[in-house]
Amino acid sequence: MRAALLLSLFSLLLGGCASVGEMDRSLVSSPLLSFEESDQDKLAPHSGLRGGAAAGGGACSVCAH
Amino acid sequence: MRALILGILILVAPGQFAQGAAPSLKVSTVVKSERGSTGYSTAGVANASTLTTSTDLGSGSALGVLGLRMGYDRLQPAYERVIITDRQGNARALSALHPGPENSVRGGLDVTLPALTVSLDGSHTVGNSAYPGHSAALKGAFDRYATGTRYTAELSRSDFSSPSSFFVDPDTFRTRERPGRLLESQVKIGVEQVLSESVRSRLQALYAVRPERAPPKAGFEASLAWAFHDDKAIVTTLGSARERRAGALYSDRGYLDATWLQAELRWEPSYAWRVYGRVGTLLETESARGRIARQRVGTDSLGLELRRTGGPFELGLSSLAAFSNTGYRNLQVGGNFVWLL
Repeated sequence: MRAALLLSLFSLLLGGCASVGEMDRSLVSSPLLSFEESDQDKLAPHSGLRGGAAAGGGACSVCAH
Repeated sequence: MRALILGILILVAPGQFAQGAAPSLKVSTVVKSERGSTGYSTAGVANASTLTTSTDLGSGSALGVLGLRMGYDRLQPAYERVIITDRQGNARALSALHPGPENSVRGGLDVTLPALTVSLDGSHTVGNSAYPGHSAALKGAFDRYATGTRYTAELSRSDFSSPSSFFVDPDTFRTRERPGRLLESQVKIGVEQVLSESVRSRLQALYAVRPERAPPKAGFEASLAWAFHDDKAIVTTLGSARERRAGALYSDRGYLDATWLQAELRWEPSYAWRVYGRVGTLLETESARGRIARQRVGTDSLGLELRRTGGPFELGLSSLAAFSNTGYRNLQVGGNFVWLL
């Protein structure tokens, strides 16, 4: 997953260097820049540490931790 | 008094706060296939698949500021992968006791004002279930348009019962029963900031307590969304969660940590279509417990999602593949269909 690491660091670097301009109300709800939860955000097969208390099941499906 | 205030809001709202969302019917299905294990235990070795189908009915904002939702989930669980042990040490798969399927109902309401959104959701298992119980979540989001800032807060609680199972304590070698009640309360706060016309950031922090079950956990997640083209953006996320070392252990598991890094590429080839490509890597560690050495599990994941919005029908197709260094494999495919009534 070196590609993921490089891609992430590259975008963090460029994003951090972007100029801070005038705020746009439409950006608050722009789907291109919105933060949404995907199945990948709940992935923690060994620890079950990701996902909220109400995420469902109440227990890790593998170990019932 | 509260009913009176709510009634006034509903009467005033349709003209002033109408959001334009329509009532909707949503049907979704997810198939998940797992094989292999992430740890030393024999649990999780069996190949098994889960099938979840959900049906949701939403009122949209037909009542003005107030939206109502209700849903029904039907799950065919993969309990072949969950091993339970009796006091004498005899092990068997949970699927022998609970072959499934399992059902649960959900309900929720949203209150939407110009700069404030509040939602309350709850779910409850119905009928026979290996983990009967309920969960609830209260979420709020406040937008401060003058500075392009959104503040979010979430309180959630789940309370499930667990089937009786025993284990040998790695420290004392005595037979103990696993926690029979899986209670968790979590608070999560976050702030989103529009940094420029093309950059937006989010920082979240969470803390959860799991009394008589597991140590408290704390975590954070930092995300940055950057639209590098009119119709393309990349969202990167770095996060970590850790169990508190001072907390007591209630099972044969050690203290757990997780750190993850993800990147998501978004593309809007047209107004109606969106494509999401995701790549991520996750490192989980478990501290040594008794004669079991410290464990490190690395998992790489790839995901692809396609969405169509606009018009009376909306569609979504998603897929996820995850591979661990221990031989664990997880493949899942899902689809959903929304009919705006």
